[in-house]
Amino acid sequence: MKKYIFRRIILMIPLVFGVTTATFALIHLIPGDPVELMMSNARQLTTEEIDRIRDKLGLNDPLPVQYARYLTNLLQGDMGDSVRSRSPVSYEIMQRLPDTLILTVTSIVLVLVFALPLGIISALKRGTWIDTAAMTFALLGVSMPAFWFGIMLMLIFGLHLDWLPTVGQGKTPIEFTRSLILPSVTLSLILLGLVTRVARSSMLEVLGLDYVRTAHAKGMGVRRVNFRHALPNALIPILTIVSGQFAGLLGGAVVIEKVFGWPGIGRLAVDAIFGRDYLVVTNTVLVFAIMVILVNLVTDILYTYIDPRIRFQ
Amino acid sequence: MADSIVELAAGSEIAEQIRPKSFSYIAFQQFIRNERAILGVIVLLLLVLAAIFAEQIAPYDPYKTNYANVKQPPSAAHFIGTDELGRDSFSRLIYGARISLVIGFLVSAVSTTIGVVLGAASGYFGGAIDMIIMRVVDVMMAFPLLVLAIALVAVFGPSQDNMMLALICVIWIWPARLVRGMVLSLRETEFIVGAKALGATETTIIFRHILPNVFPIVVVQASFLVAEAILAAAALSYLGLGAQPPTAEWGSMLSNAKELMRILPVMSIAPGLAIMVTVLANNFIGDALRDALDPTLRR
Repeated sequence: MKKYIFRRIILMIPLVFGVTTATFALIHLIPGDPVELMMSNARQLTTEEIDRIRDKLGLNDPLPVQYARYLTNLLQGDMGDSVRSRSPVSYEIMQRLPDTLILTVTSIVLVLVFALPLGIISALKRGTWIDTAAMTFALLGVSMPAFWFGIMLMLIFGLHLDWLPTVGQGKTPIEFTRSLILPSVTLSLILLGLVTRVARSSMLEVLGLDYVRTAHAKGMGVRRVNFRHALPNALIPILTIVSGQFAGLLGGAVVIEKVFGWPGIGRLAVDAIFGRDYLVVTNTVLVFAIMVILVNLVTDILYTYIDPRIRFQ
Repeated sequence: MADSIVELAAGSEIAEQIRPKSFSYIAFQQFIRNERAILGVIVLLLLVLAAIFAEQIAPYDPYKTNYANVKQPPSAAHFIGTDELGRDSFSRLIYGARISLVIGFLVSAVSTTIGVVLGAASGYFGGAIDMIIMRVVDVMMAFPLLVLAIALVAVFGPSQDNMMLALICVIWIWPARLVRGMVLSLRETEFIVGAKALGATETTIIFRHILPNVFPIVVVQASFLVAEAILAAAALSYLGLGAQPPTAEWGSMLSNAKELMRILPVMSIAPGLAIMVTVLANNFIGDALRDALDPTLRR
């Protein structure tokens, strides 16, 4: 198994390489001269001055040299400086990353707490009104723009009932938790419908398998069969879905952070676009991709523990 | 044996019943028997009509400002009120259908076409082509769709056309992956091997034997991609990266409504409902198409 994990990590390297190539390409696709963009707020520069800055920044070097330098700097954690704040981009991102992580992890927990039981109950009560209601709810969930759902929650629980804060992030632990509720519930909507559907169909599939029938035939209690025998196997596809949709969740977080004024890296990136702070944009995009790659890696490794069939392959 | 039964029954009602039916006939029958599908088609047709005849249906000009009539609550004259520039929100909502539908269908159609071509080439020819296309797809899959679209809009510059371009750039990888996988497995099937043995040309095999088999599944996915594109476009426009003011677009209307949430909540509610209804209708149709066109699901 160690060999499998090792191989899986080695396989990740070309992907990370590809992803950095893509962000490097993005930086160079940006129209306009980078020096002029950087100096947009300063006084007009002479061509000689611009050329000297270009030389200093290595922008006159051939592309492969620039690319090699870009990678070396990245490995050392150097992502360049933000045009607006003048501080290192890596610092800006690290400042905001924990907030995005808290938001996404909380919504994944919410999805598991709500969608899993809902899907499993509707599988066990197949064809009843509970099943119909859960599936209707799941369908509405995937058809709604998540950020609009957030606006609706804001209207109801923030403005109308005045229970929760609508924008920003609380400072004290209690205030923080209160301000986390609406954004994380909103973000969880992205996966809620899907996970409910998958939980239902996966549970239904397992319930139809021979070993479940055998357990019933042995006279085992219904509860024990459903929850001890069927459920653990039904959970495996859920892991695939949640990790496979992690990228989608991060994408949704960008918009939802903007809706609720949550200070994560998604909002950082969007604000940076309007500030023409391109290094912040491209590097945030890179961080998003690295997060997705890491989550996929961890899931694959988790599989080997959860599903013995993979371990013995 | 089977022949003799058919002969026996010739001319009778039974003959009609046991006559083999075409794939598209069965699929069509199954589709129109699905209530949700019919509902979806009706709603979508109404939306398309509203989009086409927006000039005739909308009670006011969606871009005409009226400073004597700003921030009006819903009334008989203005069903869902007016915005901060006195423009009629209901008229803007109707014009918004135009943009959302065009974006949804155009993005889905173009990215599906690109995806089918590249995916089929990748799966059929294999080798270096496959290698290059699939590595590009792998790398793109690592980026969240919306994040990559945002980055591309940042490069192209925020506008409605650039947003569509960005969405096409990120969405084509799904049909490409789907088609590649299907072509890979089809390539090894007996009937393709048989066609090759009979001396069929590569063009014949691809267009006559492989693509018709891929087509139904691609249509199903394309219908879901319409919904996906509409949702993504609304999110990008909400962020100010898509349709620009004063365009009457649902996503940017939602972003505009934020300032007036306290006094005019209806402005925040209506465009979102419109998006949801459009996407829901699309998903109904997509689900029904999948049930009707996917032979593996047929009972």
